[in-house]
Amino acid sequence: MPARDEPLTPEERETYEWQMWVPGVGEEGQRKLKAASVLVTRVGGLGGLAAYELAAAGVGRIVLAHAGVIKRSDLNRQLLMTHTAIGTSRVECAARRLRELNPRIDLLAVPENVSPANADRLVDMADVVVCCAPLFEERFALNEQCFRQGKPMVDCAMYELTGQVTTILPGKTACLACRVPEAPDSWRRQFPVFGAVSGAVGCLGAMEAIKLITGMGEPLADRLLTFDLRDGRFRTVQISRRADCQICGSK
Amino acid sequence: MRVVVEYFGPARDAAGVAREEVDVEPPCSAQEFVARIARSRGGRLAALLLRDDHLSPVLLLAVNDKQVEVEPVSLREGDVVAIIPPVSGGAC
Repeated sequence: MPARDEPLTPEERETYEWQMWVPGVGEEGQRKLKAASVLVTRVGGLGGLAAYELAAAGVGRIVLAHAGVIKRSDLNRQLLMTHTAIGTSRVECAARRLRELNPRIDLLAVPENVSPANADRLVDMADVVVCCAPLFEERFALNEQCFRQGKPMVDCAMYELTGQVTTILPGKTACLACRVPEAPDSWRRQFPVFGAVSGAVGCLGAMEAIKLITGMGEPLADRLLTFDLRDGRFRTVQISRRADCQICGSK
Repeated sequence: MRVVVEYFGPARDAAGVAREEVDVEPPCSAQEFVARIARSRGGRLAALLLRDDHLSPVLLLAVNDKQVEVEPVSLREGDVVAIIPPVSGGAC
């Protein structure tokens, strides 16, 4: 990965000035963002917003992985997609929109969804993974590869008006398989979603990645944030590793 | 004793309520308490929370914001039990 540990240009300083005022960021944090690479898997209603915020924040290289073409029914939530691009590649449209937002960063568009066959290659492309997949099988493949390669994974998920976010530090915190040892029978690929909910989860996930990269704040490590926007309930639950976890367990 | 139950995600819809107070006869573990609720309500809530009449292995339960693991966790007056099924909604 071309981690570009270079000084900021005057133009970059001006662009990122307002976030560099955040305590714990400054010029050093911004240089870390510039040098970092993040994989965002699927860039629809959730990952699209995560990628948008990461691009705006100046993450130096973003790898976008998502197969398929834009459908009309994507457009209530997939904010990187456009009406004029219906029928064309999702990931190419997303990369184009992100380049318009921030032409300073490297964007790699991979027209693939995560699977056990490509997870090792995709995870190898980045320092941090933001998992925004709609299927548990994709999440499990990413979780396993992140553990094997020692890469942190921000796990972002939603359903209807609820969201779940946690940050997995391989070998240190509960991994996805500790909490969800198998795919739930009840889960279906199509689910009710408002863009404002998936987008909120994506923005929370982007902030987790920014914290991991800059070292600022405390990631949601061993903690699962869950919320229901129907009535504004938020809970942060302490979660634990399982000694018998099939991915990261010691037994 | 009386405990508070909070339902998240698909559990809220299946339970038909977000939050409720429930009387329970002590001693009772959180795991047994949730299994009893699922059995007594039946229908979609039971289908979501139970497998072979036991709690589903993929269900996250928390008492006072701490995950309930394998060992039984005894409930106390005023405890908040959160029922959090896993979801995977992402960028379809």
